[in-house]
Amino acid sequence: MKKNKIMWNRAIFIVLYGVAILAYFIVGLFQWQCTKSLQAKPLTLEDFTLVSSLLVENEPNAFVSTDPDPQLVYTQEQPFRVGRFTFSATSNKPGGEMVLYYTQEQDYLTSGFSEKNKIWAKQLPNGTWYFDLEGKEVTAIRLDPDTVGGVVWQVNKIELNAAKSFGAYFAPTGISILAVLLGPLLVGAIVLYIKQMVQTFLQGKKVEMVQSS
Amino acid sequence: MIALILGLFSILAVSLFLAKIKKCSLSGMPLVAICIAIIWFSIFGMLNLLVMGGVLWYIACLASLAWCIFTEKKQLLVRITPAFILFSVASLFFIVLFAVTQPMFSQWDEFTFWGAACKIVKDTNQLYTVAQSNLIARSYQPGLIVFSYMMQFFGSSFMEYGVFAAFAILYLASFAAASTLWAKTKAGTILVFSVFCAFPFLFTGYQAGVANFSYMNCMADTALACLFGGILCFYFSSKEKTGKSLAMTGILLAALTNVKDIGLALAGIAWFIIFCDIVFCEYKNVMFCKLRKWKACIVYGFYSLVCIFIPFFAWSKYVLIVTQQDRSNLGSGGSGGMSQMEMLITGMKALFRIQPDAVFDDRAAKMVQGFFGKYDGQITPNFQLWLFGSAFRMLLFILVVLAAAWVLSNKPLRKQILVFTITSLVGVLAFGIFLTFTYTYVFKGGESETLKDYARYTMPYWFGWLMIALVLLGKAALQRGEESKQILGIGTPLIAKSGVLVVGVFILAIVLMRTNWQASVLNVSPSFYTERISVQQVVLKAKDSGMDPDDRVYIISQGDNATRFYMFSYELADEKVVPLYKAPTEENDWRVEGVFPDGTTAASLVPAGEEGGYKESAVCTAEDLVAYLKAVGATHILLDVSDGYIQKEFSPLFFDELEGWGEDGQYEGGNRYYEIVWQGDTATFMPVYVSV
Repeated sequence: MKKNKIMWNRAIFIVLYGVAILAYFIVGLFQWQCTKSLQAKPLTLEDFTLVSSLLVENEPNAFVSTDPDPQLVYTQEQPFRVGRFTFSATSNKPGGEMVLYYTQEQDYLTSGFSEKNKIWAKQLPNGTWYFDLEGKEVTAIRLDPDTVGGVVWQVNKIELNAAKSFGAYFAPTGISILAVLLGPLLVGAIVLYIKQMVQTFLQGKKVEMVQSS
Repeated sequence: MIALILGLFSILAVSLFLAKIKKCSLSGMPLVAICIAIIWFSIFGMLNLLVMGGVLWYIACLASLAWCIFTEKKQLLVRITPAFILFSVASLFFIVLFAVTQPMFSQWDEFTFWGAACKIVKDTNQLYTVAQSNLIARSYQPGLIVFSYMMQFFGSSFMEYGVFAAFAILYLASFAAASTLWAKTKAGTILVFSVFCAFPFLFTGYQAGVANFSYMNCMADTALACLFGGILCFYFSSKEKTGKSLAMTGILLAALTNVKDIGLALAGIAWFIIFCDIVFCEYKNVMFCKLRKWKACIVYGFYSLVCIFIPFFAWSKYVLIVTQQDRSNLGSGGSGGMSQMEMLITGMKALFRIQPDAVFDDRAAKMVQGFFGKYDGQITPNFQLWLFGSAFRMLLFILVVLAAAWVLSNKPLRKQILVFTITSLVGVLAFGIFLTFTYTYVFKGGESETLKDYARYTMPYWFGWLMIALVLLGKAALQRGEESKQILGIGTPLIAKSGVLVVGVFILAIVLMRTNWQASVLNVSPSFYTERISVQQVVLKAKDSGMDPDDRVYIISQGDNATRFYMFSYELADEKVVPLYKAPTEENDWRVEGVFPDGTTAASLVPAGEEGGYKESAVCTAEDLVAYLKAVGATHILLDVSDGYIQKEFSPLFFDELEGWGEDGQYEGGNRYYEIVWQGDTATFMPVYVSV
């Protein structure tokens, strides 16, 4: 009986871990599927609406943030899909956090960008900043390049839907690794915990029935 | 990374050894092992024998592990509890995560003391009290610093992320100690341990879109919280209140006192809670030093008080001897402070209206508002204790858990829960009063008025308190069936078990949903560290142009609050960074005394009439600076950030007249590193080039 119990318990965890690992790869494949058809689209500063920032005169591809909340807003006439957004630029002084907001609202001009839809920048080995939106359909994206103000940015290249290698879709991140390691463990533990409670309850009832008969 | 793993192994070895000789549950032993390490290395640090302390520690750990294996062999495996395994696995996870993601220090406090101290101790193998540095405070207790040293002992050089890993392991050890009761159920241990691991995220005020630095900051607050909670969870989880477990609480209290000033207050409150529990609830069963009942209570009470006060006074005495600085001088950088005793007495007088103090009344009123999450009538982020808001809500939450535990317990346990509720309520009041004293007499200016970092400083008590409440609910859940009652036909332990599940899932759910995972320990963005990286680049340039280890460097970095200065101080810890200029005052004239002893800094040099506030700027002319540099023995200048005033007033001092720097101080490719060449009392700053 006990051996059976241990086998069942182990089976729960094996199944959950199997599901988690499978889900990890399925999510990667799904994201690849969503973005592989997207064409890489180079952008220039003229494609953006600059808020709290100004283009630098006589210098192509340079802008300066005029207060600590500069924003570069990009939109198209129709909602569009974004894969990996890259921003290759250098600044004359450290700018602090670089984030990308996105919105799926039609009326983002009035409703603004939600703090919940915010991605922090990662960096490629060559120094290019990037944000992965994994093929989300958005109405607008907003790049906040710095949180300092007075920073002069020299832009090399901005690209919508930059190329991303197949392997990169399965690259582990802290979040995904912890989810795969801890998720099944926790779910399995809760399932077993409830199972043990139910068993204790039923045993208690059995004892009562025996006692009363 | 190997160093960290070896450090972890040493903790596991000591844990196994302790479990064997004390015959108690292995789950609580990593916490005891870490506390022993803290005390061990603090003592060796004070004797200035850190390296020897490290060697002896690791030899002792190896020996104890070998002894355990040879005497018990297979039986050793029986001792292993689920919590112990979770502790080991989770610790390894954090070590690997940090080694891969390599988070860095980013907060002011990490550069002014906490992180910089860890680096200095590792680099010089001496305590920061004696090593040359620009730390803003030399007198903080060394507990966490030496623990980080122990974990990195075998590292060839200091690793920033190693500090985060060490701290995480400390948190995990106390979570394991708090999961001791569930040793027989793997499922229960996993659930409870995971809930505790989520606590640092739980105790962050909810702010969408703000980066979350839980588990990757090396300020002492979470460590204090985990030690405070861990001690009481350890006490309440031990089955018999006898010599072995009680003696170990002494070690835990000593380590807590040795973490930060406020560790003393927390240790005192923990002592009070434990002592009351022994006297009121364990009176019949307690046994200490082969004594029973009231004799045992008195001896234990005395023993544990000694464990608290000896480390505190030993450290104070040590700092006095070593730095010739009266450690009893409090004040965040301000002189004219008072000793802790004076603060307590003055504060008590203000509290009981013997000698009313308007400042105290104001801060006390603000503390009360802050308890409800408000400042000036408005809900303010500074006062949001946890994801659901104010401390008041947390109080309600804890009381509900305790009430549920009380209802579902049998008589002896009910008494214990009642006594605990009363003593912990007294504790939270005492802690709040202590903090009010701190805000009134230790903090100055704006930091005092706005109750700066209120949530961070109050957090340790609430964090620990919730841990203990959950442990008590767990005690109710794990009562033996025969002793329990029934409600609606269901045994109360079962109801309590479902209560644990409900609370646990609730906490995990809100942490999952409300934490900003996009910018957290699991998703580190390089853009957190742009300031750091730019400082590192300037340092690299200076080193490339020929910086020597013997140089004493004065940093000119205009326009900030000394953040960059402390980052430079941190990066150049091997070289000597000279304290920033501060205009002499009546109390503090560097011309007479040498250098400012209190370590305060003024970041920007400004013309007369433009003095800024505390710490920001100091009036300084070219003559002032040259005289100061001579007095302080600086040999080089590092020009980090210039501005119009520097260009105008100071460019005559520079041999190249600051060519390559714009009128307003913009960097246009000019030199950064200059040597100070003296001609009598005047100086010229010559650019340093590497001779090819």
